[in-house]
Amino acid sequence: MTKPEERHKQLDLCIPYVFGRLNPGNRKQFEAHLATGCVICTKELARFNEATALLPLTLRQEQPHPKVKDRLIARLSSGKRVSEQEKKREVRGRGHEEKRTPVTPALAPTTQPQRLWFSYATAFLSIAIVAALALYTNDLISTVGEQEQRIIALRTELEQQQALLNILQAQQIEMVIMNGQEASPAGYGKILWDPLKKTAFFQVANLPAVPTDKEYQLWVIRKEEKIPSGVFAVRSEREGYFNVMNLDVATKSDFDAFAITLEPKGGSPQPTGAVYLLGTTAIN
Amino acid sequence: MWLLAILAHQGGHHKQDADLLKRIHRRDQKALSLLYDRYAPILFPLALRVVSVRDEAEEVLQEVFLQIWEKADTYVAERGSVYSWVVTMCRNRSIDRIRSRNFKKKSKEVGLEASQALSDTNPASNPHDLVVLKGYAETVRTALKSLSSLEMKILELSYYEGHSQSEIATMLKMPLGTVKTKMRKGLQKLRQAAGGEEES
Repeated sequence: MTKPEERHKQLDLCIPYVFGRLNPGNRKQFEAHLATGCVICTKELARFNEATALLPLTLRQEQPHPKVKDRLIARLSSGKRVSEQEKKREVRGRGHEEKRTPVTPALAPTTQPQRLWFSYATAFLSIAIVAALALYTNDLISTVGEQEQRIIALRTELEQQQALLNILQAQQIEMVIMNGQEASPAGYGKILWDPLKKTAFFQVANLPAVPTDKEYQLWVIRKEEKIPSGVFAVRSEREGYFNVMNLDVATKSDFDAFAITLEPKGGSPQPTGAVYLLGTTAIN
Repeated sequence: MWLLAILAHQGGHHKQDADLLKRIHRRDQKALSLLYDRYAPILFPLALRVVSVRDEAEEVLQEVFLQIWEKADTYVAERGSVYSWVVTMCRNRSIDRIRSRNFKKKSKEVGLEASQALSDTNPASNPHDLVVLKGYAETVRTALKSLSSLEMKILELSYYEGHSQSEIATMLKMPLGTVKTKMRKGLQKLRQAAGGEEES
């Protein structure tokens, strides 16, 4: 069971969680916290879920096409996914007469060999053009997909940089440098945070890659208390990692150190693995 | 009392919904069909508001009910009503879709505004449900009047368009802290005006 003072730290995560805006580490941490059965956070979450769920009630009522339900039931019955082609057919035909492209009349039989040759050549050329266009379209779709992924990545990066900028513009900034420990002598990292807004910029480098069933976990250490503050993974050796996160600490006098340990995926309520990075407020 | 608790008590929907989910978990297609009839008229406009394209909204709707079919056992009653669970699921799927496909650039086929009047031209599948929905919509609209235009704008940008608080702060040229405060205030007002508990 989570201690009462920790519950309130998690309350701030409720709204971004409801809006799906927590980063994966914080989301896992919050869900792990909910899984402990915290009544306060669960109740708060329920309140915000109910509040946001009111918003769609004011939208203009629109009925989906009856085919949607038919398709859904058909999929449940068959246990298969309806083919894309079938869906497109239904979409085209819905609500109005399907536009029919005039069918090219069949080539009339002819006794003139030259004309027949010309017709075959035209047909062959048409098929070749259609095939080339199909390949070109596929290529374009693939390129657009890659560009969209790139845009999403850039947008995320921009968002993080904007958040970092907001922290740097804060009236007051605190920083702690973390140094590598026995498990990772070359590792290092730093945490900058705005003690008023409780947002932090967190960066580490030279940490060993973690196996898929493990994650690094950040801890705030206050006397004997070790407070879980987020998990993250480094998937390749020497990969740098940074993130902007909520961090519920005020000034450096409020706690003793930050530490990073290797824990089972999703994090642990208390540290169980080796310490990889450590940054004490006394040194910093 | 919560607005949706009123819904639950008046229409007995909450218990019915929970029973439907249990039946869905036991692979009862009729139960899913009933849940669809009850909530598709709310979920479809939500998906349409977010993705803006009718065909895409219908795909989202279908995916949501397939997810309910597969994940009915993951519903946790303590975290909210079945209604809020399915609405959240639909909203998140819709947002995922616009994020992954960059639908924001597509021209909107329909311009829907929150707080628009309910249309009489598309009746709900069940006349009783229509009356119930209209009644709640009216109550919610009244509740929304207690929100300032800025609070409403921030909620809409976040809920329907999936923008983060940082993005909204940049878009509206205001401090991130103000956006966070306004969002929290807006949700609290909505809860309170709709009959929710007072903030502690």
